[in-house]
Amino acid sequence: MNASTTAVETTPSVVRELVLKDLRIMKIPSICYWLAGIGSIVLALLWGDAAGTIAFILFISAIFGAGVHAAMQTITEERREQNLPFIMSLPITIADYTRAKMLANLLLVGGIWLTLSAASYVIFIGDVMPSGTIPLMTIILVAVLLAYVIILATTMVFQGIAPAITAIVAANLGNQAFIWWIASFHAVRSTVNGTEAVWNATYLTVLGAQIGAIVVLVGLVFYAQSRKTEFL
Amino acid sequence: MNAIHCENVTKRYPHFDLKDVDLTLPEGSVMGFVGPNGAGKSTTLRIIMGLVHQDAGRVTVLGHDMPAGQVAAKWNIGFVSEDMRLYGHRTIGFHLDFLRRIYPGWDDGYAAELLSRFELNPDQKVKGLSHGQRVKAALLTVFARKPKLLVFDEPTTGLDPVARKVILEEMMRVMEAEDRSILFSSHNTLDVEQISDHITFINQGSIVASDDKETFLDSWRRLRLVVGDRYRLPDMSGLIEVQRSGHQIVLTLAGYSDALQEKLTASGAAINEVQRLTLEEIFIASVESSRQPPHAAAAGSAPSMEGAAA
Repeated sequence: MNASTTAVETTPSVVRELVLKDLRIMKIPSICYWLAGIGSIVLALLWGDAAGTIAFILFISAIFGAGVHAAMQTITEERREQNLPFIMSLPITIADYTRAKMLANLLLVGGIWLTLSAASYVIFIGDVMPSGTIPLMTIILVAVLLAYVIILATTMVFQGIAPAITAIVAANLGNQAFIWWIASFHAVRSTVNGTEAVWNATYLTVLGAQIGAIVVLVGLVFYAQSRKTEFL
Repeated sequence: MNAIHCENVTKRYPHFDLKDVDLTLPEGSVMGFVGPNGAGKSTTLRIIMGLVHQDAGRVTVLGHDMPAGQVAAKWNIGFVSEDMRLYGHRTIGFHLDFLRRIYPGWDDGYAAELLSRFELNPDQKVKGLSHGQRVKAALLTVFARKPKLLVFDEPTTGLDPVARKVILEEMMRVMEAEDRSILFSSHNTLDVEQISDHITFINQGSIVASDDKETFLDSWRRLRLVVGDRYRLPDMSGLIEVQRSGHQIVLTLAGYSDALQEKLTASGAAINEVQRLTLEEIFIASVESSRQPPHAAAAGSAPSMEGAAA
C-alpha cells in the first residue's frame, strides 16, 4: 500500500465529515437566526418606516449573531471543552482542520448571510425603501460579512475566548463606525434617497476593498495555521 | 518491524525540554510509558501523534515519518488521552455515526459488543456520563476502528478499580490480534505492570530506563547487608542507592547477578536479605537516581560508605 497516496485520496472525505459534523451541531441555532432575520424583513414589510430601525437592528443582529455563535461554538468551544484531541487524532493535518472549520463556518454563516441578504431586497420591491439605498444596503451587508470574517479569523488563529471576545467587540463597534462613516460621504448622501440605484465609484471602491479584505483575511488564516508546530 | 521508533527527539519550551528521547516499540507489544507529572509523557505522545512537531530528531510511526506522514499513520492509530473529551451535548451514538463514516474498517458488531460490555447507552449524552463511562466511551471510539497502534495517555487516571479492571481487560483482549501494539502512559505502575511487556521510565524530559518488563523485575534487587566499621563497598555497576544505618547497609541495585552477591560476600559483607522490587519501587528508585547530580548517582561506581546517606 502506498501510504501517501492513501492520505491524499482519503483526506477530503474526512474534511467533508468534519464539515457535516459542524453543520449538524449548528443546525438548530442557525435555523433560529435565519428565522429571526426573515422575521425582521416581514416586520419591515408590514409596518414600513415605523418598524424600520427595529427591523434593521434585528436583521443585522441575526446575521451577526449567527456568525458569532458559529465561530464560538465550532472553534472556541471545541478547544475549551477539550474536544480538539479527539478531532486531531483523526487522520487529518492542521491544514485539513483549518480547511474544515473555514468551510463549515463560511458555508453556514455565508449561507445565512446570502439568503437573508437576498431576501432583504424585497423591501425595495415593496417600496418600503427607495431603490437608491440598494448600494448602501449592499455595502452594509458586506461589512457585516467582513466583521464576521474578522471574528472567524481571530478565533481560528488564536483559539482562545479572550481574543474571540475582543474581536467580537471590535467588529461590532467597527461596523457601527463604518456605517456612520460611509453615510457621511457626499457620493452616498446624494444618491441614497433616489428612486434608482446608482453604483458610483465610491460604492464600487468600498465594495472592492471589503471583498479584498475578506479574501486577504481568509488567506492569512491559512498562512498562520500552516506556521503552527503545535496544535493542542 | 517497529510500530514506533523515536531517535534523539528534542522539543524545547521556555520552562521544559524534552531531551534526546530514544524510544522503540516493537510491533505486537505493549509498552508502559511511566513518569511523574510533568516528566514529558504527554509531549512525547503528542509528538508521536504528529500533534506537536519536534525541534530535532526523527519519529517514525507504522513506517511513516512524523509529523509529515501523520495522515497516513493516523488511519491506523487510536489515540485516547486523559484530557480528551467527546462532545458533551451529543450522544455516544452521534460519535459512533461520525466515526463510522470516516473509517472504512469500522466494526459495527464490535462497537455494539463494547457498548454492552461497557454498559453504555448509545442514546445517552456524553455530558451525563460519569468519568469512568466517558473513558469507556472514548476507548470504544478507538477500539471499533481496529487500529494497528493504540496510543493511550493516562487513560486509567481517576478511574475506580472496577472500571480500571474492565478497561485493562479490554486492552489485553485487543492485543489478541498479534500485529497490534499499545503505547500506554501512566503513573500507575500497577496498571503498567499488569499489561505491559516493555517499560520505559521518563523523568524531567529524559528517558531514564527502558527495557522489557521481565528484565526490569529480574535485574533489580534490594540487598540488606551487615558490615564492619571500616567497610568499603567494592566497585560494582548498577548501584542505584545506598543507605547506611550503623552496621546495616541497604543497597538498591539494577543489574543484579549471583556474581555480584559473591563479590559482596568476598568484600566482607554479610548478606541478610535479597529482596525483589516491585515496578513502583523500581520506578521511584530510577526517578530519584536520575534527579541526583552525576557524582551522586551511584550507578556504575561504588560510593564510600563514610559519606553515604544514613
